[in-house]
Amino acid sequence: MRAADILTLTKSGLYCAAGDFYVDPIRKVPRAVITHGHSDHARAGHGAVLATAPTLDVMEVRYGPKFAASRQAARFDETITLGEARVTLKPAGHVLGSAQVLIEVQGARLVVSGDYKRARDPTCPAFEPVQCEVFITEATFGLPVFQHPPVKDEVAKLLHSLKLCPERAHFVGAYSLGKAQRLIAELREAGFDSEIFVDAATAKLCNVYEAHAVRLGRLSLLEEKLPSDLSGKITIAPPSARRLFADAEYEPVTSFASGWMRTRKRAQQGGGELPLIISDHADWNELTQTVLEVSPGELWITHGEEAALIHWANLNGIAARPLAIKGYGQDDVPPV
Amino acid sequence: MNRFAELMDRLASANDPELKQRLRADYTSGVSEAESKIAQGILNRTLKIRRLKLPLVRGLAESRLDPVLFALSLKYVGDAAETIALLWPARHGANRAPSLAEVLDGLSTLGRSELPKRLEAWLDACDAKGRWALIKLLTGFIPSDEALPTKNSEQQTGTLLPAQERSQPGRVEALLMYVEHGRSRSSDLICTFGVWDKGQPTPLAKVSAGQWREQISAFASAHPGRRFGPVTEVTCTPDIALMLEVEYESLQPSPRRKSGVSLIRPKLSRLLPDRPASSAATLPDLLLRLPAHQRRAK
Repeated sequence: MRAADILTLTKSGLYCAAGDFYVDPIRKVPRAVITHGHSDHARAGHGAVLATAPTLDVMEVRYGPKFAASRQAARFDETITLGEARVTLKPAGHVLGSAQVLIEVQGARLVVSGDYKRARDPTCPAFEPVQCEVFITEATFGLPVFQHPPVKDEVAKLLHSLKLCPERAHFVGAYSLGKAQRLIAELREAGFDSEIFVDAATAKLCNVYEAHAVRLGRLSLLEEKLPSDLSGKITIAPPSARRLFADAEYEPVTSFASGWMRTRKRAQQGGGELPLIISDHADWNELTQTVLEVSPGELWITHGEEAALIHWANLNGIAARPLAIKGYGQDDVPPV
Repeated sequence: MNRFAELMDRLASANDPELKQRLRADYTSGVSEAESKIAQGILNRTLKIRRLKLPLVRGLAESRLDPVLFALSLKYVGDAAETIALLWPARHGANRAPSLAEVLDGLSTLGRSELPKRLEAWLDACDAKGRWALIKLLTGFIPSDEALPTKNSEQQTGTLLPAQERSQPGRVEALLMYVEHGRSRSSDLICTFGVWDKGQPTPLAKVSAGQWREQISAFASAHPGRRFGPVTEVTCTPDIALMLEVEYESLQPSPRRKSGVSLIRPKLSRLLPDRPASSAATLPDLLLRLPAHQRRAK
């Protein structure tokens, strides 16, 4: 068995014939292993789902209790046999519950890393490099221009702005799963212990974090407040919640937290008055460092800015190929 | 340098005059009087600065990085100075970032042969924003909207665009909002796309799904919204949405449309399934691409 034969790319996503399961399938399938709860990886309607307990909880919060016919929670490092395949989940450091999937078939080893990062995150265990013959990586920030600054510096900018404009509300646009909770936890570590306002969807996911022993401190529901209550406070919610601040008298300092804020064009398009470069994906240095640590014979790239990473891998003697999952037309379209 | 760069950056994105005033005061209180005077001189363009040629700076960057990686990065970012600033590989043990005074002093005292080495050390010591400001300062391209922060916003944006009748061809990162099946039997899929406006998706125009019909159709059936006859709404939130890159030949003001702008010959150029929906273009951003005299207050 060659490691490269463990998975094949089908219309529904990556399929393991030896264990008869898919990893993060993009269509409904009888059996799925899910790396983490973001909606492009974790979909509703599969038959059996294997994932970490926090990921299953996130799916239930998002899709309701019937999101799959059956579910099985796996602990990190616990090996589960599916048909002829041995499956072990390893921390990916992306969001709460996020896992890499190590698949072993007759001694051959392949790792699907899902989405991951290497920077410290107080809300989830750190990524563990796992040696394997085939390593499947993302490349969301797969260009050398993407180098995320230390998150503490970005959090300090937000707190400094609050000092500079103590009478204004501070609205930070962030994903409801992962980014929001990480930012809250980082604010707490920086000594900010006032209440933080979140929208209802983010609050539900914060409850999942709390249930898994991630302490987020005092949170209040944004929807229950008047604009005047938010002056001098920090609100963290998806960008669409910005509309709740319609009253011009209480115009907030608007911020957006994303790795895309690294380039000026993006920051000026959507970063508000205070763009923050905070990402839950590996930057260029983290991607290349990880590949060197894992030292696979072959690198497969699921999605993202893959051309530069493939070129870099080839320079380093590693065979690399794009999977172009979700129908990327990379051959005929140049990067932006 | 880093502080000055941060100030320029914040001034460029601040809309509120009161906030701009506080940012300037905050900067001034954190640096020496001499440093603050230099900053003022740069911002109001009264300071004469020795210029360097961009290829010199570019040569330094290219000597540190593989040319293919540099080219791919430049293609993505679009601006050479910014590309160099962003991808400049960090070197351990770099000094603290130079002050504006140190940079000016170096420029006036160093000879032609000594300067590249000093510049390299400065770039090593700055953060990405500091490098960007340093390169722009040395090559003489501090953007005018950032140099004149006290001007009102209409004047600022006016200086960014060439004065011509039609807007340039361009592309926009848009959100998939609705799909409908084509009228003919040819099983084409028509996509309505939009951009963010005040946090809500606002429709712009329609394009054919073309070669991406299957992927778009799969996304639409996985995330269906309300149905209006042949038209199906597609989930479009900052959390779940499909991003499309749409090219157009030009933009025209269109008071009849909700968006206030029409795209001439829009064409889907690719899907961006991995981009966060919240980073899609905004309507104000798109309206800024109209020639200044065609813009109207929304």
